[in-house]
Amino acid sequence: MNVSVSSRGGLDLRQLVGAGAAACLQGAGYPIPEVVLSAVPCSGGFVARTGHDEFLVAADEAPQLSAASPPWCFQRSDHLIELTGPDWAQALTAVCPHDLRALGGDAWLMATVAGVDVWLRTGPDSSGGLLIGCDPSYGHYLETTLREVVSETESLKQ
Amino acid sequence: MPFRCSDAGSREWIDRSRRIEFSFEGRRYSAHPGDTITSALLANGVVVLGRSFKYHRPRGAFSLANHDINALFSTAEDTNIRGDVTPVEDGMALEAVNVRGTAARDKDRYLDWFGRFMPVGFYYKAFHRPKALFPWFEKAIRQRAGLGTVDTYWRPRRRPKRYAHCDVLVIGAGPSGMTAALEAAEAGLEVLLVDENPHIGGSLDYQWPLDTAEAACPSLAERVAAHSGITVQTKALAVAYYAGQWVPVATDEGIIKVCARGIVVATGLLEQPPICRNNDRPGVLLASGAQRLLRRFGVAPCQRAVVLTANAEGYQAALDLQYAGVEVAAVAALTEAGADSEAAAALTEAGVPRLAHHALYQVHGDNTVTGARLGPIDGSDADAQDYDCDGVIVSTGWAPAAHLLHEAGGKVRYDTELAMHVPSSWPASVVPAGRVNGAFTLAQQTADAVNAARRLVAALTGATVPAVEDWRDHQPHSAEWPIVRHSRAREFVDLDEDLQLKDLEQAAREGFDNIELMKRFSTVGMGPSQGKHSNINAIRILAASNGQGMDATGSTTARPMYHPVRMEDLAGRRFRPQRYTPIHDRHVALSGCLFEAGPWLRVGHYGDEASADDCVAAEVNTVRNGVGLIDVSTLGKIEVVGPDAARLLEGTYTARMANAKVGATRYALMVDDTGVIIDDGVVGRLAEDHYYLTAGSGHAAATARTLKRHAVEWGLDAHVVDRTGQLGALNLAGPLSRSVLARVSDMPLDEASFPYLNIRETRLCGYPVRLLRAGFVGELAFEIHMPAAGMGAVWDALMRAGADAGIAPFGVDAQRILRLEKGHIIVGQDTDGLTTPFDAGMSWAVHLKKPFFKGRGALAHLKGKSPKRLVAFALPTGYEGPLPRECHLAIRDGDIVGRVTSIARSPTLGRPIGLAMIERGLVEDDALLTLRVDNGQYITAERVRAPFYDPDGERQRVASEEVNS
Amino acid sequence: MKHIDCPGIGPRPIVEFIYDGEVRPPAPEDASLEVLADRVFNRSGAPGVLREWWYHRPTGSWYVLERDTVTNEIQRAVDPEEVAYAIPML
Repeated sequence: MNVSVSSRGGLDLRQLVGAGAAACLQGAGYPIPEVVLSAVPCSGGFVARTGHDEFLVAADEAPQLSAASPPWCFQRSDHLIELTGPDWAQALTAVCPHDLRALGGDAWLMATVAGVDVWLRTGPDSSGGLLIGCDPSYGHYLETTLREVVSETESLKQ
Repeated sequence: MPFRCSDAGSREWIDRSRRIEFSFEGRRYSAHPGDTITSALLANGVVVLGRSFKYHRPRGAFSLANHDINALFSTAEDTNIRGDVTPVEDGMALEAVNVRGTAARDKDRYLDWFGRFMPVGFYYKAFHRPKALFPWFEKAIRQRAGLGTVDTYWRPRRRPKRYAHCDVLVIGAGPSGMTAALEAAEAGLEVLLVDENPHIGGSLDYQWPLDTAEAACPSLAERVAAHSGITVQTKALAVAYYAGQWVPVATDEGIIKVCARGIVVATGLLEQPPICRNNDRPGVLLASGAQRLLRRFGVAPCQRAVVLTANAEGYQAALDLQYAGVEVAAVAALTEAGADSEAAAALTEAGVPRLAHHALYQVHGDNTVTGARLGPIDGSDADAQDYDCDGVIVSTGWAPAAHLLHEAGGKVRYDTELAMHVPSSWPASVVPAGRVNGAFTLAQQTADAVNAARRLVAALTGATVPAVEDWRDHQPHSAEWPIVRHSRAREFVDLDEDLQLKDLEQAAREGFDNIELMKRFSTVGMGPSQGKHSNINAIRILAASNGQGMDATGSTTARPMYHPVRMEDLAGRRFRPQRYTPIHDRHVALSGCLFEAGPWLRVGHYGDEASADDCVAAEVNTVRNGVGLIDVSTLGKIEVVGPDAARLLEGTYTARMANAKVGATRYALMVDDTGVIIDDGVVGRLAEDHYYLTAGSGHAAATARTLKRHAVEWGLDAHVVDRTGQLGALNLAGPLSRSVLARVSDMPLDEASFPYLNIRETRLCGYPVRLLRAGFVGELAFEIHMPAAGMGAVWDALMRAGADAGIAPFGVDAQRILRLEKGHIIVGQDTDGLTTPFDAGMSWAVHLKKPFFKGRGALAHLKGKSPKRLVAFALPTGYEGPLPRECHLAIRDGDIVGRVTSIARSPTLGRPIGLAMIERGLVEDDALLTLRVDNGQYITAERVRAPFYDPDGERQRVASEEVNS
Repeated sequence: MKHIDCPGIGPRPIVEFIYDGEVRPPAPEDASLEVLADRVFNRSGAPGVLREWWYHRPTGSWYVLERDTVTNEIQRAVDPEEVAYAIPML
């Protein structure tokens, strides 16, 4: 079993809502996912379209967007967990009913993992790993649970 | 191991090169790795393996197919271990279940003679009179009936479940399952092949002439193992089918919940026994059970056998026994079927007597089989002849293991040609294949499996689905009536529940003549094997009793799970999401006593648990006289933005929101369609099109969800963003709070610039924050909302800035007392599922002048008709008697007139204070309240006016139209 | 685990949803007590195709789905505009 769990820092997250959100992002030089509930890569992170005019932007540096209305821009403090190694999908079978092997590269999924609502993001090559973001208050629980699951899955396969 | 054959079969499961030791009832035996408990004991000549449920009759091995519920064992750790399938382990110390003494000499064996006093349904009939004796009977019956004894010091374990996905799940790795798996995998689909046995092969292991099986199996098994599109999971029992094509598969590592786009049910057949007197004696074995013993474990079930058959499989079993060195005394042929088989011819050639049209009349032997009486089918006892033997091998019929197909919506019908049930319809994505579908020969099974797999593949890939080909056999493999009555009964239909032929006939006579009623009344099929060897015979008996056909008689419903599953597997992992506030580590460092408030971990008070009351009182005093700081991050925190934001809140809350000025807050009360309070909070207006609001800790998600639904339902252009966990919040409270906050904030905080009940946006410690002048605890207070990432910095800065002012953190316990002193309610504590704003004395928060808000209709009707009212009460200063508790009752003239909703000793007032919900009629009349406290004691409390503390709100500098109105 | 095949987000495990009952027209203004009580407390419960409110937690969005309560089949997602009604304001 080749998978490891780690906290991930260094990404600045912003949530953009309201009419004109897409235009505002485009104006700031960000790529826009055409389809709702999909994501495209951008400078070290991604832009995910979470609704018709709702976006989640994750980047190395905080996007310089006007906080005035509309659109409204809110800082996010999501707890980020990185699963690395090709067996991450196998490890998550203990906590998630979704068929995560089918995710593919550059995927975006908002789902429930271990009873907590999260978003899942794969890189260009889905076998490389997975980034999980959840509400910061659930971060400790989710990370602890994932570490448990990974160590259990490892002992299973021995 | 005297019964171990000298010749090792090619598909044996045991490793003859190694030996392991185990004990049964204190005696030591040896076995080979790969043996099951039952095969190991039989190899050592131990035949009596357990005692039956009700009559304590000796019982032994029967099927070797995971439903031998009379051969259950216990160890020090576990009980009801199925000996027929559980591998024996080195050093295992086994005991029989349901015996006093040993299985062979059970002290309760006399119960067999009392059988006639225990007729069917006797539980329902007996022991009702005299009533006083019932407990005695109950105890005696409970001691003697049953299976293994549960260790009540058992420690709960959980085995995590896993999910798995595949295109095609093939259940059963016999010839049909393996063929279907290969066919589907060749079509490019991802296949999961599961089988309950430790090896794949199914009936190829044991049931076919050696050369036939050898020719078929290695090539099939090797191709399956080598195919990259097939994952094989052995020791994996598919136990149920659930909607959405979910199949839980029980494995040694816990349950795997498999979601499959298509399912091939290649579960084969369950052999069905004949019924005659003493057909339950140890030594009577199903032919397939005998063959499993022989080929998988190299164990001969007996030395001299009588075989009863109604099919070619029985002749093959007899031939296998003879080949293994067992003397076959006679083969009784119940029907003509199989008489023309190669095996039958070989037996005749070997000089084995064949008795055509003969039935098994009874089995002899007190403890184990010593003989069998065979006689003509239509004859009587006088025509019968006794044969000495130590084994009776029976092969009289089959039933499809179609449970999963049933659960998936499939149907079966009785096929008179096969004298067996066969699937008649099934969903396109759940298909039967092989013997479960009535295909008997290897050629039929293979062809049927190929056809089934092709149909399934076509259905999954959207191709044209080929027609169903009929590969069923056209000669019977089951006897229509494998039952011989005996004048002295003891013809067993259900070995789990000790039910005899006469029991079922009596049940039918008593009116339980429907198969479902008969099952419930007689308990046939309700034992651990769930009728796998008794249902078909029960249906035959009822059909005969009712004079109707098999299909007209029907069958009982197969429900998930169709095989017992361990509780620890069902329990799985426990998911209990827990939420930490952003400064959880600081609470821990400050010795905060944490408690669970829903998913949140919150601080009750800081300091020693033992001196909790003193700590809480000190925290209350700090807030009243100095300054305290509490983490209120659990508050719901929701942004509502957009052109219709005001309209959305106006329609959701009872008070006016649209006319709030930018920078102002309003108390917000939410009711449901019935007018009952469901949440409260504060709504602050940050801009014309931007509101920020709080909700109760337990109701935050629901409030955000409700707002979102209203936006959709009312067609509003407004966005709702739930930031509850994203933001942290602190409440800095107390007379010194303003001066402490001023040290870290450069915003003007004076009353004129930032009045009570206002909201401002500013920055603290470099973070964007929102300040709210709130009044929950009844002192000058500032609620500070900020990104979770900034909470630590702001908390530390305030604690430093307030150090010389004596700042101290306070917990939820102190906060609850502070708010009670102020007379503020907590929704869900002082209100319940029937409390309206009028009951809670909050009509000031309801603006019926608005043409619409959620619940307005109900409240308009309820106004002035409120049946109850929340009132305040207090006990005398220095009161030392018993303190009422929440939900203690208010009593008047012996009747219940209300209940306490909040109670606390007020450190500020020096007396216990509380709130109670009482009947409306009493509100004006009674100055005293009689409360019934613990131990039925009554105490009298004085009705007082709320707030108890600072009734004019001087300390908060109240200047709000809502509170005054 | 049961799945809901929700148009727009695809098949999803049912634990991701919160059910919020049948879509019902707004109560008539100034309804009599009888009419109002009937509306607030009574549901027909008859089997058939229902329009229902379903909230998908991970995406935080509401769906109005037409579901056959006999077969449990989701027939279609209803455009929210079909069920929306305007509320009066002061």
